[in-house]
Amino acid sequence: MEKIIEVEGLTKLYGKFKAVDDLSIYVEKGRIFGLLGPNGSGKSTTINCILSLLKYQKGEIKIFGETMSPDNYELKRKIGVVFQDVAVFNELNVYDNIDYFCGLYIRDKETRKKYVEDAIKLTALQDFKKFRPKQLSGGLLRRLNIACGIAHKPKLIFLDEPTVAVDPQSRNAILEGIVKLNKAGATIVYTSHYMEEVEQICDRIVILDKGKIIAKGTKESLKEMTTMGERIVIEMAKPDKKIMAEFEKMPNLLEAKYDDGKLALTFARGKEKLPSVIEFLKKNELSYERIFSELPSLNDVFLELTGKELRD
Amino acid sequence: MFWHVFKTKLKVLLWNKSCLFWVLIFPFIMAILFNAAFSGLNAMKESKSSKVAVVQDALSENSEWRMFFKELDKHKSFEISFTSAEDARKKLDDGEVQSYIDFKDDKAHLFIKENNIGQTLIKNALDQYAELNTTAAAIAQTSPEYLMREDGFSKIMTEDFVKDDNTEHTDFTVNYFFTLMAMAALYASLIGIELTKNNEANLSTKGARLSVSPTNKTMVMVADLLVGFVVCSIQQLVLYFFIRFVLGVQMAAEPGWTLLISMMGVLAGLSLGIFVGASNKKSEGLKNGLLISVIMLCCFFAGMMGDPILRDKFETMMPLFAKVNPIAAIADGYYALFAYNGDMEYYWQAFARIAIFAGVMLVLSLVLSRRKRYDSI
Repeated sequence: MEKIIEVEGLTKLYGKFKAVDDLSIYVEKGRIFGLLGPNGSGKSTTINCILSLLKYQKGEIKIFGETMSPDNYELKRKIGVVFQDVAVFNELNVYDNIDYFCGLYIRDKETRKKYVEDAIKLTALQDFKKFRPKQLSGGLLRRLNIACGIAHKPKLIFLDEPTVAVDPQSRNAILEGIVKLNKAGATIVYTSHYMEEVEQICDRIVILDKGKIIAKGTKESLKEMTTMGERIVIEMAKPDKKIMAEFEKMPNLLEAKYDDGKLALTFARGKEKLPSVIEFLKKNELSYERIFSELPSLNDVFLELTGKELRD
Repeated sequence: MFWHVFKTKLKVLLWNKSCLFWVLIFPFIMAILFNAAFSGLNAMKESKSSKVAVVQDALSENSEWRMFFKELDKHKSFEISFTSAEDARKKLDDGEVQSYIDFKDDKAHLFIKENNIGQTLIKNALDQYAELNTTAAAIAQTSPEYLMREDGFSKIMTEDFVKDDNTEHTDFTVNYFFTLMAMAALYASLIGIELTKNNEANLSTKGARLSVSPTNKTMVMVADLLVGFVVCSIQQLVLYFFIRFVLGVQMAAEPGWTLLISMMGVLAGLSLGIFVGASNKKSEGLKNGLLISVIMLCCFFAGMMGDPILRDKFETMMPLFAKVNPIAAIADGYYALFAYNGDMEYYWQAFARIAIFAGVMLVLSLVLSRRKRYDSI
């Protein structure tokens, strides 16, 4: 498959601090590529280097097969960027903001008008065209930020944490919009520290920590990297020491931990454990409110690889 | 593309209330305050002439001192009367005169009850006259023929010792309005900072968004300059007419030349703002505060606050700074139009000074705005 972005050996230093350390990635055409990592892991720095905003010490960056540079306007024309911080003019209304940023790419007025309307429709801002940014909620503001970045219908879109501080409803609307853009033909680079989002929409994922790649692949292949097979969570009163000792004797158990009214039993890969746990509870006449099974998440992958949680 | 950026940035600027207040409204408020303060001062000057009694016992009928006081009496600031020493003291005690002058050993001694402008003026006149007398004595010993010449020293001795404030072209208060207009022109730098913030990736996300677009940043900077230039030039024109026709302050009669140097001042201000804005990553508030402080300091050295004589002293103490001070350069241009009635040499000198300042700032701004990649954003 055609590679839209190729980054080879990228290294970015802030003084002596290595923000990005010998990073090599590629993004294939038509994919939603996820850059996952905690705050400060080097996601935004990587994107800013790819976009030629930042100087870097080492590495080669190609986009659409061309070397990216600040003066490569033809290449820039194909790219759309949605930055982590909202970048709109408070003095302009929703329509004028989108029109201004779209106008930096599209000269023809009629085409621009159509593109602006399309972006407004995609981000569901039809009812807020005349609103100024200060009159919008956090979620609507984020949607405006996205509309400003994608109105010119770019072939490659960078979305840097576009859902930070957004309510769940707006977050879903944003993620749906991103999938729509992808289905319309755009290749997408999506950064986030929310593993659920990355899991939900990304085809291929790179996990970063301290500027280095610690894992990469599809979400399925990443989850294969964990020794964990299943986690069974039981909402119940705290079991006594004897019962806990019995739990710990269960085959394939990696960890038994009681916290905040929940007992979490983590099992290694193997046979499904839920029926045997329910059986154990019945046999010991232990009452519980709820019981459910979780498959490994990207957070578990990150935890196993780094010893810390993604949100830390 | 240029007009797309121009129209949008114009709209953005006209909705930026804080920027508009400092750049467009504040100078008008200052002008009104200046006018209120100076009209009171002028009224006081005009209404009160200082009554001075001169003890004539010690003066011969044709003495030079008597001639001096007769000349002084012609000035509207003084009412001179000749009387005896006893009568002079009584008049001072009764408040009929504000001061009296007596002579001992052919030296004038001023007696006052309280110090005010009138007394300061008469004291200055007496001092100057005494100094000239000393000089005359020295010349009499070395070049006595000079004292006899018609256009020589005797002419100087009968000249005014108090500057005549009556002619419209030497009213010292207009200098305050000139520096005010110059300050307003330089306040365009605040617009320069605001516009730069939106163009540089290391200053704002809007700047980052512009930097990743296929847009020539020099073109955007020129569009920004034009926006600020149009808005501030209109403001300068309105401020000129406001000061001249609404406040009634005597200004130069030619608005064209006044506006020309104002526009160059605006360009200098905008370039200064863009340079300061793009040169570092400090907060916008800090940059604005720094610029306002520098502009006010330049105003101070150009004579906006305090006695205009101070400005001459600063010029003597710091001649180079006086030359590069943009406020002084613009104010000098206005003053040349106002005071030298058509003598444009002094005007063009001032114009060249502010044009060089604007040119240097513009080049530095262009160099900074053409920056390709940033170390950090």
